[in-house]
Amino acid sequence: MLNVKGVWWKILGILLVGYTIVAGLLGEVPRLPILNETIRNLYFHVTMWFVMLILFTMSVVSSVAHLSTGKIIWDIRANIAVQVGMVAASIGILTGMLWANFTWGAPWVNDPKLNGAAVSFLGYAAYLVLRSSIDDDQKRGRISGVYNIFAFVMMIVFIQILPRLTDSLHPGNGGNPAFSSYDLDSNMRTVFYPAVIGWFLLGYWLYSLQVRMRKIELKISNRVWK
Amino acid sequence: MIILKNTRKIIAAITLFLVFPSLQAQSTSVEMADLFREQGKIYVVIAVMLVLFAALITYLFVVDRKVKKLEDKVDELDRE
Repeated sequence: MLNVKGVWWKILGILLVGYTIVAGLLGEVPRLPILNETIRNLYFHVTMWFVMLILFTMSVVSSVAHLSTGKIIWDIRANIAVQVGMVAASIGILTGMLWANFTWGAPWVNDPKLNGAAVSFLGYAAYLVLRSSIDDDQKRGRISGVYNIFAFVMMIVFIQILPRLTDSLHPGNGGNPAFSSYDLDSNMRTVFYPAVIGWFLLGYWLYSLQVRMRKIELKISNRVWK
Repeated sequence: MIILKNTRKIIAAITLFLVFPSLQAQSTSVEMADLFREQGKIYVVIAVMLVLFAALITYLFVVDRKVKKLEDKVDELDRE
């Protein structure tokens, strides 16, 4: 049924995420006020943002590759990495709102990390709109490739740099300790890092499916079989 | 002197009683789903989530195979 070659990383992703579901709900977690059991959301909510970061990094590398080689396939790879990354970001925003509603008291608080995430989200939405609005292949690749680099830099500034300079409710920002002390003890690390790898592999699977379909599409449009 | 010693003991005992329960309470007062876990029903939720996850993954494999077939077909046409 399956070709074993090239399937191992899919199996690995499935096993890692399966392990996360079990260990994420049963494992020991620090007892913290306000957070209570919701600290387990870290295995699922934060993971989505990590996956998004990896996919957007893949995308910007693909865009640079397209700009330097001019090959259409690199532009397609950049586009699909953003698409899958946006799925992860959407889940990240929705789960974050749900979590914030019960711990911070409101689904959206005026927090630099939240607003930064919203701005970056819109920036990448603009990338998808911009790319789909150009018909010529080469032009589309170049313009959206350049914009993608800009969007990536803005995303890093808005999500990773600015929240660290000001006060933020998110751990690791504005002087709050991040994963080092109370937030992520060694017990939680054994679930969190496998979760990131597992979900990234599943995200990469979705990405590879789309890329393969686009390749088929390219082949069909390049030569018309009678 | 004896009275003073006794008072000290009493004060020490009172402080011990006052401080220790509060210390204990501090470490366990954070509400967690302990009872829920004791009853074991959490496994049911995990089982449901795993079934859901397995179903999605199975569907993903089906799509994967379909794409593979399309790839083979295109390659075949390419060779002709």
